[in-house]
Amino acid sequence: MTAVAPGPADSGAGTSAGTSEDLLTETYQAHYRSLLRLAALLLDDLSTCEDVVQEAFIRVHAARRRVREPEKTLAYLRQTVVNLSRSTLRRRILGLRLLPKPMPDMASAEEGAYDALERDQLKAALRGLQRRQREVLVLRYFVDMTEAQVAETLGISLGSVKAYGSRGLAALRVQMEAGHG
Amino acid sequence: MADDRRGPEHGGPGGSRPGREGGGGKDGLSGEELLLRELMQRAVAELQPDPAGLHRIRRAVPRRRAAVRGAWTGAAALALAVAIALPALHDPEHLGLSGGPGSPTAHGGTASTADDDGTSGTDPHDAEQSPHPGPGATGGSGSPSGPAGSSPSPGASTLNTGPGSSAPAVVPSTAGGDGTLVPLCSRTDLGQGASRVGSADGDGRIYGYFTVVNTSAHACRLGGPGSVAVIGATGTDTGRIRVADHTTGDPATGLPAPAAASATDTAGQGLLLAPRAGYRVDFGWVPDAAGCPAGSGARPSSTAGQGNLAGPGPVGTAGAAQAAGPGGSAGAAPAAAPSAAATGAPPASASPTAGPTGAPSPTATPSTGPSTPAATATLAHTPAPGSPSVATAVLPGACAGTVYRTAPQLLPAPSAPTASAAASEG
Repeated sequence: MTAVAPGPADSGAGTSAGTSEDLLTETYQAHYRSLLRLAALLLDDLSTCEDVVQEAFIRVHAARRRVREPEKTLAYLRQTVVNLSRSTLRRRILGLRLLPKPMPDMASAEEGAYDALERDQLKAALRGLQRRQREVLVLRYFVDMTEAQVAETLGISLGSVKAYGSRGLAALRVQMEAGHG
Repeated sequence: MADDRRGPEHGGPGGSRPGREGGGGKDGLSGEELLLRELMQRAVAELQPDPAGLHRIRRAVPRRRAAVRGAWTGAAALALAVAIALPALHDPEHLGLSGGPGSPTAHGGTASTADDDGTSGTDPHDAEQSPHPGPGATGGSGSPSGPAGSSPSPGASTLNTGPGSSAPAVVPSTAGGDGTLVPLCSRTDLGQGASRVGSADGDGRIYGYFTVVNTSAHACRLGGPGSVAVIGATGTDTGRIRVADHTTGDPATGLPAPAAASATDTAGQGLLLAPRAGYRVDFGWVPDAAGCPAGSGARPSSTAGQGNLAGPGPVGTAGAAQAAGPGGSAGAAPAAAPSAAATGAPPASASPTAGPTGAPSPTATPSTGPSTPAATATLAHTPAPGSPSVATAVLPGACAGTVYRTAPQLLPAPSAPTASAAASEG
């Protein structure tokens, strides 16, 4: 299952972990971007998102046992990103991480001002949700997980997923409408 | 926790474009849910990864693996050291002599005069950054001196790789490079080094501590315990002063319990220093029971101590070896550099082979130092990122014995340190 050809990427690390390094490259190319976006919806500053996703890659790939199950790697990565985002938020609340870099303005030229407004509004609204609500909504709708998969990833019951989801949607609706009004 | 159903959804390179994928999760969504899905995807659609990300991960993974292994190795070494030290407790005569776990780290400072930065990639820094403060870590720095007498080959091969010169600038380059949430403290982040030395108790034991403050404007993570090394001595030979990690059961009973010390170092994360927060490394000087030896007095005992601890020695060496051999000496190099600079370090000027490690060993040089009573030893603390040292402390009357040091502990408040530890005694 890890029968991958010697990677074309740089072999500068020169460790004995040849195959898993190639797997690392593959996994990175396949999933890094989507995981970064997942983190961006759970967090609010870009540098922390990168830190969180990179740390998730490091943790999952440092545990060889996990790397030996490539079909589960993405699930491990997602779960680690969610957990790290949570602990990062908690740490920031404690004030230990200071002055997070703000997310750079990603508005492109062709994008209308209304779109940017709506997008920022969504992010602000997501930030206003309870942490669990935000996690459920992001996993359910951004990652396209089923409710059962969300329950498994977050380690909560299916009923809780449904409850967090519906309350989260309602709260989001209120916030978005308030933003428009 | 994972399930295979999820695989196909984002299995391919297209995982970066969730919007294009069919998935079980999005069937049957209401209009509002579909709108939210669309909004979320648009909100982050233009987010592009940092191109350096893969490189950082690639570098950090082997290092993390080594740290995980090192934690286990350190735990094993600690267990072995305790197993050896505990029986010694029943025999008070040997308490000060065998020194328990201290011996393998003897001459941590002088043993590591070779500095082979850059000869083996990033690996040498592993030993320095490995989070375990126990004997595993000190075994790394001290092992060249311990086994040198009996089995010169590993030590010699280690030291051969580097000339005696110091290149301290290389060490901080790894700071923050391992992709963790809070960057490692670089050497320039740390300052306001201070030391405090109490007065000797009835047994000649002296307690003191170093404090170091994060003087930067950002929080940073301490990459390791740093070093406490003997950088100079008057009236005695630096080779008579051993530096060891404080462990349960060692004679420096006035120091904080090592378990509590290591608990502050959360697994793999290092001590987190907010701006203006500081940490503290306690040390305790325990003179050899034989006093200042003329020659034969303390020699057999310290030899025996090393003999006893031949077990932990190789374990510590293994801990360093899994960080690619030279890691041991590189880890301690920050301490060695100022030592060589400040004292002219006789061992450092010798050939870079096993010579330097053999020379200061008490077994190798039974009669180098005169037994002058008015001896003092100077300790220096170098934080984990490397040279230069932040503070020195002078131990009056120190002639032959062991300095036990603790792992860094957070100072309770960013205010001035108190002298509580200096007042305590064993």
